[in-house]
Amino acid sequence: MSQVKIDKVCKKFGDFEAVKNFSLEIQDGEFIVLVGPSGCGKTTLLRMVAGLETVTSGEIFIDEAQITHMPPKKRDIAMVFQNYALYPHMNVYKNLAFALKLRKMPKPEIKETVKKTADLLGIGDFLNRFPNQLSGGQKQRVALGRAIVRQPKVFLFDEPLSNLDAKLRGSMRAEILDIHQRLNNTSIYVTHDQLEAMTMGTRIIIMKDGAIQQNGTPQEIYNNPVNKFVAGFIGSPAMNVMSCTIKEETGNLMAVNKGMNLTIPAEKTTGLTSYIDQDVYLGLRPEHISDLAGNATKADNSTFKAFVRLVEPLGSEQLIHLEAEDQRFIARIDPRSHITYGETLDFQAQMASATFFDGKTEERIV
Amino acid sequence: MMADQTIQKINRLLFYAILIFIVTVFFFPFMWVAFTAFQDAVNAGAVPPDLLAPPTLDNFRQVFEEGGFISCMINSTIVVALTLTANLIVSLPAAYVIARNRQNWMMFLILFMQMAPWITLLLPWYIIFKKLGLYDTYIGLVLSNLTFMIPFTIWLMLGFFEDVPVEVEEAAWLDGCSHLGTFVRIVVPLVKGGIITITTLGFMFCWNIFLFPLVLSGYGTKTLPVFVYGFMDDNQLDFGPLAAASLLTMLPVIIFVLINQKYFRQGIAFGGGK
Repeated sequence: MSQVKIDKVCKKFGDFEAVKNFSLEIQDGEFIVLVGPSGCGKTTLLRMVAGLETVTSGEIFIDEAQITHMPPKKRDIAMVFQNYALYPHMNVYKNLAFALKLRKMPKPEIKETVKKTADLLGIGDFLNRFPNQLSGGQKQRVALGRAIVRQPKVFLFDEPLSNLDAKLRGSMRAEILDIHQRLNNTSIYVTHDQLEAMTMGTRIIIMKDGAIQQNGTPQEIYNNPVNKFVAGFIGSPAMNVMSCTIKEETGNLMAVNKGMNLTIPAEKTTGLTSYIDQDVYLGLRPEHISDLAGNATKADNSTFKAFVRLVEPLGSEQLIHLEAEDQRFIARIDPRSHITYGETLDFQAQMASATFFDGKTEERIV
Repeated sequence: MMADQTIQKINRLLFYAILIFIVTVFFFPFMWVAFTAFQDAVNAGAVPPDLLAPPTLDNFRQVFEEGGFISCMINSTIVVALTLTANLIVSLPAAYVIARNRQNWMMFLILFMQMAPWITLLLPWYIIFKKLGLYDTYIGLVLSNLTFMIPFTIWLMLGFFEDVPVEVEEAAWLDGCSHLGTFVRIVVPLVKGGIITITTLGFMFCWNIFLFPLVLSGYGTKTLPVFVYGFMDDNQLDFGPLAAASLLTMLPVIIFVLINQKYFRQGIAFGGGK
C-alpha cells in the first residue's frame, strides 16, 4: 500500500479552471472521499491521479515517486468506474485475468489469484458469464474484482454506486468498506452523495468550484463545518441555515429575525460580539430543533412558533417541515410526538449547538 | 369470428404473393444467367427460353478452354485480398481517431471527395498510374479500389467506434495496456460486427468492380469482370459462355455473403446509419 501526495495541482479546460491549486496528502491505508456537487472538479482530480487527464500545473506523487506525467499503465493504480467499464467481449474470468495476463503472470498463478478474488467477492459462480448476462450489482462486483485482483498501490472509485438502486447501494457500500478493512488499501473515492461520504470515508474532502472547502473526519465536518456551503452540503437533511441579525438585549446576545428571537448562550458569544447589528447566518441541524411536547409553559427565549407544513414519518424518527415567517426549515423529532399538518406549535432551538456564519463571506464565526 | 379468420388468411396470402413477386423480380436476372449458363449455343439467349431443353456443361468447358479464367480469378483474389487488408489497416485507426476526436469537418471532407463521378477520375489516373509505373500492377488496382473503400469504411465504422465506451479503453490503460494494445485487444473486437460488414461489402465491391480494372489493368492483372466482358464484342454476344463465366464469377461472392450474413445484417442495422 502507498501514500499519495497531490501538490498544488491545477487543471484548466481552455479558460475554465476545473481544479484550483489543489493540495492533499493521503496516508497509507486511508479511505479518502472526495465529495461535492456536480462540476466541482472531483472526478477531474481523480482522473488526473489515474493519468487519464493531463495536469496543467502542480505535481502528483505516489510513495515519493513523481507520477504527474506518467502514462496510466505505469502508475499501478486501479479504478472502478461509474458504468463498470467491463470488457464486454470477455467473460468474468477473462475480465479479472486481463491485467495479470498483461503482466505475464504464469497461467496457474493467474487462475489461483482470480479464483481467490472471485471467492472474496462472491462471484465465483459467474466466471464463465459475459458482462451482459450479469445484474448491476454483479457487474459492480466484477469491476471491484478487476481492481483488487492485481493488488495495485492505490484504488480509485469514480461514483461506483451511482447506477445501483438504493437497497443495493447500501449493501455494496458495506461490501466496499469490508474489503477496504480486510485489504487496508489506500483508496480515493469520488461521490456526490454525502451519505456515502459520511459512512465510508476515514477522511472527507468537500470540494466546490475546483477547490477544497474542508478536509476532515466525517464527525469533524458534521459538527464543525467551516462555511455555509459545507454546512448545507453535509447531513441528511442538511443543516437549516437562516439569516438573522445579532442584537444585544439586556446584556445578552440575541439572534433575531422576523419569526425568531433566540438567546445565544454565553459560550457562543465570544466571536459574535463584533457582529452586533450585523447580518449573519444561523445554522441549526434538524436534530437541534425539538418540540415542546405540548408543554407551552416551557416557552422561553430559545423557543419560537412555527407552522407545520409537512410531516415525514420515517419510523425511528419523523421529519417535520416547518415555516416561521417565510423561513423554512426541518426538525428531526421523536416519532412518539403527535404533530400533524397545519398546526402552529412552539419549538425549541438548542442554541448551544448552533453554528453562526458571516453574512458576507459565509465563513464560520462560531 | 369466421370473417376475421378469413380476412387474416387473405392478408397472409397477399403478403406471400407480394413477397414472391418481389423475390422473383430481384432474382430474375440471376435465374436467367443460371439458366442460360446450362444451355447450348442454340437455346442460350433464345426468347422465349426453352425451359425443357436439356442442360449442358459446354459453356463452362468453353470458359476454361478460352484460357485466362483461372489467372483472372487469381488476379481478382489477390487484388481483393490486398485491398481488404490494406483498407482495414488504414481505415480502422483513421475512423477510430475521427470518432474519438469528433472531427465532423474531416468526415465531410472525406465524403466530399467521393462526390466526383468515377468516370472523371479515369483519365487522370491512367496518366498518373502510367507515369508512376503502376499501370497493369496489383498495387495500382488496389490503390484505385482504396480510394473508394477507405472513405466508405471510415464513414461506416464511425458509428461502431462511437458506441465503444471510452471508459472501457481507460480501464484497459489502467490495467497496463498501451494505446495500441487497447485498440487491438479491446476496441477492435468490440467493432467486429462492423469489420465483418465492411469486409463483406468490400468483397462484393472489389470483386465486381469493372471500370477501374478495364482501364488500369493489362494482360498481367486482368480481373474476372474484365474477363467476362471479353465474351462480348461489337459483332456478337456469346450468351452461353458469358452466362457461365458470370455465374462462376458470382459464386465466391454468394458464398462469402452467406457465411457472413448474420453479422452483415447486424452491421447494416447498427453501423453507418448512426
